[in-house]
Amino acid sequence: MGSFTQRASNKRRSSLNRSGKPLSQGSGLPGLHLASKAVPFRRAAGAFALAATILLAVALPLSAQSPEGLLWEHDAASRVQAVAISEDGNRVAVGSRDNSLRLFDGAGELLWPPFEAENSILGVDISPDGEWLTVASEDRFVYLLDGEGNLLWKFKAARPMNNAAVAGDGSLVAATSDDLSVYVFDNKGNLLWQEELGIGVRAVDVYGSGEKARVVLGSDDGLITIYNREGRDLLQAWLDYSVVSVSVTPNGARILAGAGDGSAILLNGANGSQIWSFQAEDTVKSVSLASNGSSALVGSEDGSAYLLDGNGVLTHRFRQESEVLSVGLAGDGSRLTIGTVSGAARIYDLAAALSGAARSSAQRQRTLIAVVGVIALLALAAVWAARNTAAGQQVWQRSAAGPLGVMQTMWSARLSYLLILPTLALLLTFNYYPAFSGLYHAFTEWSPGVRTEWVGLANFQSLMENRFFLSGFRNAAILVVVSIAKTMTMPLLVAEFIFNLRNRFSQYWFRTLFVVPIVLPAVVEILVWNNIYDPAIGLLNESLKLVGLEELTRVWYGDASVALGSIIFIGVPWVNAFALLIFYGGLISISNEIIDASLVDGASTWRRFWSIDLPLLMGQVKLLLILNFINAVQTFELVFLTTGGGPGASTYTPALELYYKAMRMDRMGIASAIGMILFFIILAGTIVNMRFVSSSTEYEA
Amino acid sequence: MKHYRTVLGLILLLSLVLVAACGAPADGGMAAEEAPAAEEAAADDEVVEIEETEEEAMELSGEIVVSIASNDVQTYQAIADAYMELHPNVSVLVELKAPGVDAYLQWIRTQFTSEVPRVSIIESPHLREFAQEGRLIDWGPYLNKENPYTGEKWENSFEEWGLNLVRDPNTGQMFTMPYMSVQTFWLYNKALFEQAGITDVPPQPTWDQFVGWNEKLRDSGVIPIAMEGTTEQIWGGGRMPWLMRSAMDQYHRDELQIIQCQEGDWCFREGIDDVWMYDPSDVRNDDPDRVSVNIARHLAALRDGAINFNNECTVEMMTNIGRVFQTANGFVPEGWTGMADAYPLFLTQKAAMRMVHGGIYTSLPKDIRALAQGEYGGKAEVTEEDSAAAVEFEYGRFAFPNIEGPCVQGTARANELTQGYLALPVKDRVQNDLEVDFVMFWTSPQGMQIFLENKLDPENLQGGIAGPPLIKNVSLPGEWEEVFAQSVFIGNYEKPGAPGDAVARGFFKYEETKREWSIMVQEFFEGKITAEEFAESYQALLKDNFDGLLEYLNLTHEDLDSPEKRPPGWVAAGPY
Repeated sequence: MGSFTQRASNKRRSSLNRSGKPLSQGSGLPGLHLASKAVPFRRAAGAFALAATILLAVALPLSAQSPEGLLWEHDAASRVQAVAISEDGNRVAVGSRDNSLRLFDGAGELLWPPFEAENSILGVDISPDGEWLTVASEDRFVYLLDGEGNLLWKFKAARPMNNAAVAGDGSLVAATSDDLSVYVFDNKGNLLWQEELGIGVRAVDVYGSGEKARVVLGSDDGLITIYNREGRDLLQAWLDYSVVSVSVTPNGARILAGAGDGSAILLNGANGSQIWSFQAEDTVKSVSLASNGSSALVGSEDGSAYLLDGNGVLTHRFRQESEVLSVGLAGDGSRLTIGTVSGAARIYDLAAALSGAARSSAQRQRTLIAVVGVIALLALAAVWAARNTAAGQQVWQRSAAGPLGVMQTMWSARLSYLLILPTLALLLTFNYYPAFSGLYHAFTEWSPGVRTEWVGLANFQSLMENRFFLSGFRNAAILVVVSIAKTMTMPLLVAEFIFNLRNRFSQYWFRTLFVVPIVLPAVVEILVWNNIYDPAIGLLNESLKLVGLEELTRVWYGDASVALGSIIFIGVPWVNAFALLIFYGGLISISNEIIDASLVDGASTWRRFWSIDLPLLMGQVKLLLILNFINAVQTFELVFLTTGGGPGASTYTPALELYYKAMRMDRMGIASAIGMILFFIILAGTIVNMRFVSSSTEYEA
Repeated sequence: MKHYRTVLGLILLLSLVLVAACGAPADGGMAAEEAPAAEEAAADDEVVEIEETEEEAMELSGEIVVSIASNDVQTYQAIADAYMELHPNVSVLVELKAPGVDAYLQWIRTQFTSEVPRVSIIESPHLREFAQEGRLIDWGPYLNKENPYTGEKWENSFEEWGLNLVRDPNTGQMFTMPYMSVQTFWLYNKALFEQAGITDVPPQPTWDQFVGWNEKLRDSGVIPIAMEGTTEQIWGGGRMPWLMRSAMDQYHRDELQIIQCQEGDWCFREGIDDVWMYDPSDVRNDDPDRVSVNIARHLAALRDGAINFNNECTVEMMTNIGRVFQTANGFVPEGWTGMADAYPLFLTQKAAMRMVHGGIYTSLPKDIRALAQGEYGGKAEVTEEDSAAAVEFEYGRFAFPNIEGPCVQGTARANELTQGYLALPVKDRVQNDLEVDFVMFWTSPQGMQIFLENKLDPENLQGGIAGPPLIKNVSLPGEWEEVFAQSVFIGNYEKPGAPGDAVARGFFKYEETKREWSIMVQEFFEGKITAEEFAESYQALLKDNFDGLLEYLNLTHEDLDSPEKRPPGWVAAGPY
């Protein structure tokens, strides 16, 4: 009770605003009546607690649920590459990479010992009544088994059989092979016909029975062909992309095709016209159609099996832990089976799955409502607090003035903001977006436009073992030191020289003379030096020979002991025109009064340099230090155009390794990691420079 | 109390709005496209009647963008113009890119960030990554179709050996289209040979003969071989790798017996692999149409040591190569391992021999002429002395010399290869069909005649060819037929699965190992490591990089343990 009294007392004390008026006046909360209301506070808190409890109850799951209708699961030792399911879902065939074919009943019990081929099972089909099974294997055989697992016959092709299908009555078996052919057999294993298509083919299904049995074939050129029992083609339909899998209704009225671009397309079996298409997120590996075409199942490399209704509308998505290689939908649509790369063959009850999905959907909605409700409650609580507590009123006032003020300021300068907008957009697009993209991709295995896979710190780990990258740091450190030394000496010396020339005419011409080389691209300068260093006909070796110093001639880029030094020597006498201009600009900005005073005091030129020029040029020194540091750490073209990093790894730099990783090895993720490391090194160096290098006058450009 | 009611009222109102808003189906985002009313299906016990349909012939129309890395606008524009004359509704845009492997590849990568790239025709031998990801069309199906410009099956227009080198023997897939050929050999300056007293130059000398010539040439005061050898030149695929690959081919040919597809393997081809016999005297013994190679068996042999490099045979091979190329012997230019381009030494007759490919016939006269005028592509400036020395001279050719020794298994072979790597990004069938039609025209006798006439036009400074075309019934214009008829064919070492070539410069084109190998080679030539150390280091290189190599090849140790099965990561365009 005591504390409550204290809060009420506080509220009274702060019930006036800065103008001395009650908060209800001029506070931005018209009509708000403040009173010492202890009871309403408790009531409001109670109301919020009640509402939160209700929302929590809504969010809680009603009961424990099985994962979306999973009936049972078979864990194969290796990839499940082929599955098939009978009309009523009570026979499930599972073929895997470990050469075995297993047949299960509806409860997941193995019906007979596994059938063993001599190589991987690539294709399986089962007749609607479960009495016939056909198996295609990498051992080059196609097998026909009866419902008891007895081998009836087998046929060997020149290359692996990659898929097979059997007619509903077992009267016809069709198989496709890596020898680019299709083989069609009767029930006794007699080859009825064979056609060499000369093109990759693995999509095959059979519909009809007896004499009316027909073969549907899809090939890599996007062609779907329907053949009659005798091998005469009855219909051809073209798709835009390669056909990976086909499934047909028993009467042939509907054909579902999975295509290489990730689409599943339903065709009218009578004329080949397209009825609908569905797009998965990745390549479709397998498709299956219910007998009456009322539902379809599409297995994709994106790790999902998509259940579609008769109009191609997604009903449910069965997410798996790995790529889906094969799917089967029971003819009556009651059950389905999915085979995955990770070796799982899963059987689902469709009704339970859909019911579970509906429950999940409802659950998601409830959770969403609860979350949004809690947010709304918090917002309401905040509003209530702002209106009914003194502290809340103060916050309300401050924040109302803040953002509003900013908005007002922006609005008053709207034209400026509008004009800067295009530049900002370009900057964000071409500078910031690539930079941040690089930061993200440093943690990925990245092939632009092809794939991006998260690998965590693996790229950085590999760099720690990369001798080219690591030795590059030693060279980069040398280049940083030398580059700074080169920039801080010769340009400053020349700037002082020009500055101290008494004749303005001479000053002008010398300045021009030293600055004009800035128009020469750095690449040209490097190429000229490549000729000078040429070991056979280069100027340097020839000159040494001319003056009798033949023992000093070298393979300047090919000798590890002098290669880096040769690169550093390029550009002698290192009068960097940009640095020269900066220093010269700094010198002419020094007040004449100071220089005159030093002359009056009898200071020598040397003394003036140390005591006046140099301290007053520290702003320029600081700028050039930062720019040189950044340039030197990023050294690339100088090495790339001279030694290419060689001999061995003696002249590598991190930036050169970045280039090789990105451009030659296509390891964009590792290249991004190098970029990220360089970024942090430059950032650290710049911060140190800004913080610890003092300047009497900051450079202003 | 009033506020309390207000708060509760607000909560109720909000809840109602939320419930109404959450009514949308969870998976509603992935609906099918276009769902016209499905026609009534036939009853289950019937088989649907198939309707008669006729496909309408359509006039070709659309846009084709040719973006090859070349400066030769004249040639490609001539083909485009001829095609557009035949198909006025088709627009062929020639948008060539600057030559340069890295930059061109980067440009292609950028194009492929789009789901459907605008570019139609690209050309590079380095398109494997795109083929592996399914972004390039497979020429295989199209080769089986009729070429409307010849009236025959398209495949029949090509020399069979050429397609066999490029097409995957297991699947028939082919992602880059060849249309020319190329051969590597040695070119020599006849006058300098005579000056050194070398008069007998057989079509293919022995290595000992070759060493003897080098000694004579060196003693006569000329540089025997114009060879460059920077790391970049060796790693990036300069001339030295040709020689190293030829040597490895001579020493590793019998390993084919270890890596060939065995009975029961997924890649075993009945009627081919069961009749194949190892015969090192037959230079075509390992052609893909005669024997199949199992990449898993090859990698397993490398992993388990059945194939290894730390042995006396590698030492023998390197010792033989070192007899010519170790700098200390004085047969190569001084400082050649720091030299990026030694060609001017040959052009100015300072050096007597150079390893070349067939393109030299068309480029040599132009290069000499340009050098005489003070211009040379690889140098910023040309000295007057060099210009004066650049005069036409008589030259001859000989094939890669045969190394001889106890470990050698066959005669030396060279690159006798297809050239041309045309590829099309996957688009919809109609667009790809149009683009293929253009390539069909290009590779018809009519199109190739236009191509060759422009490439061999003396006024076309960007032209030139490296060998005869792969297209049948096409004749080379002018004297070129006779020039290329001089070729001596000694066999090709660069073919899919060749055991020596795959491990000749690093392993399976895995760049990490190629780079290290190039450094080792340099060190050997400079005398920093011995042949024994090279052999030891090369084996260590394999061991250290084996897991990375497997990952690069998209294979696993499990794949190597079951080599009879097709590895899930195997692709027809793989670098095997």
